[in-house]
Amino acid sequence: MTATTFWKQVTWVVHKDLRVEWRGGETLWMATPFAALALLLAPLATGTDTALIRRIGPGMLWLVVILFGMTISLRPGSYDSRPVRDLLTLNGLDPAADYLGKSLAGTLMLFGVTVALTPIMIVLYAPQGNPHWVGLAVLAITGTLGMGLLGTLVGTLVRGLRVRTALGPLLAVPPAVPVLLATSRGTDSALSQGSILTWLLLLIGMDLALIILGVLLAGPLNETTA
Amino acid sequence: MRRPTLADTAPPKTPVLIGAVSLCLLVGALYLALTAPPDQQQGEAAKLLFVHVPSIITAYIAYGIGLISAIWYLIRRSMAADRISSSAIEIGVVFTAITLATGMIWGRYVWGVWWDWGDARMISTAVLFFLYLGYLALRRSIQDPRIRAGRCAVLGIVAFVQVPIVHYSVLWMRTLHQGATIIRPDLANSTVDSAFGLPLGVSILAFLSLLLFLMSVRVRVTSLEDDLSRRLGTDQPVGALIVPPRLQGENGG
Repeated sequence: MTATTFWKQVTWVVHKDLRVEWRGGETLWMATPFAALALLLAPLATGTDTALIRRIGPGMLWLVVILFGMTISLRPGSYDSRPVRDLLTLNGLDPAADYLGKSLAGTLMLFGVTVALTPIMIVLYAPQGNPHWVGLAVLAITGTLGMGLLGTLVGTLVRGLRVRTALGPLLAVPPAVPVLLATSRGTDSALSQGSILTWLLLLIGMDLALIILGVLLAGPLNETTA
Repeated sequence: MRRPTLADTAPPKTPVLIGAVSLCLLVGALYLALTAPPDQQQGEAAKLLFVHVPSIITAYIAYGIGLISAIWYLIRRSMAADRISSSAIEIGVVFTAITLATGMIWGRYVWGVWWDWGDARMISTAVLFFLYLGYLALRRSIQDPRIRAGRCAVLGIVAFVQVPIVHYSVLWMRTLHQGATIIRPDLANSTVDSAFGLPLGVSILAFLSLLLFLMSVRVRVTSLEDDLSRRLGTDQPVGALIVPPRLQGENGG
């Protein structure tokens, strides 16, 4: 397979997953409002200490994005039915292209959720600082890419299982801890005009590790789900 | 087919021998640990480290065996490799739990707290524990042996990435936990005092022999379970086997 064909397949999978999402609207109409509700409820649990709420705002945003985002990026594993997968395999879809395509679609959806939740967090928590917007955008892209890659990998592991809704987050959230750490601490640094380089490098390292592992293991994993 | 007898499930001699060696080493390690002098600063609490340190080293090795066996499975599709991988990881989870428990008790006496959020080693070890707990959950949720082996092999490889993160977290981050003392690049310049070195060394040997013993038993039990599943001709959970009785007259009958 040529590189052009491979990337065409990746693009095709991205289009397919985004189209399925657009038709179902689960991310837009269910996951995002529920995540916004979680942002609204969190200060009720911590108490109405304004200084504390200002401080925890960025961290809460990323916690909510990770917890709710995982359910979004785990979803493709549930709607790709057996006949659909058989058809894709018979049409010569490379498992690695499938993995990357699904991950990119998941990343786009998660980035959309993050963009939608950020103004809600700013209004509710009023974090202080002079944000470095470019830095924040780069953090958001690399962070959501990590979640997208991880969610797709775990989504394939739990595909077709009765317990996938409970097991998926258990498998996906522990390795997402570096993403939470890097995005929330990086956001704090970006708000105070500090350097985000360390956190960005951590995210890029994790993304690269997940791309390499995912591409290498996509074939064997596909055999167990085909 | 010959009917299985009780003799078929009797353990072979090798695990019994490893078990006996392991028991002797454990008794020796316990004696040396109890007779070791108390630490100048930590007092008797330092003796918890004779369990804490060997536990995490044993867990690392167990996860390493799990990783190598998982790769072996993906290359050769050998069910023996899958059994070794799952057994090693299962035992690794137990030793990680022991590490966390002894670490928290030690922390309560020496640091004054059960849990310290600023400690990278503690948090990364807890993440490691939950990650491999997820592996065990995945294993339990898949009935088909081939599918289970393939998916668990992939997770066994991915999860191992956390092991070096746990070990090197004390070097990469400024943290409350002390730096590496045993597994470090400059092994010759060990920071362990000679009074603690011998009991710690014997304790590590005892734990490693215990790992070998437990693995030999667990691999055998897994093999017997698979054999039983094959003989019964079912790998379905009981719920899926129960079907409503067909009533007379149903479906036009």
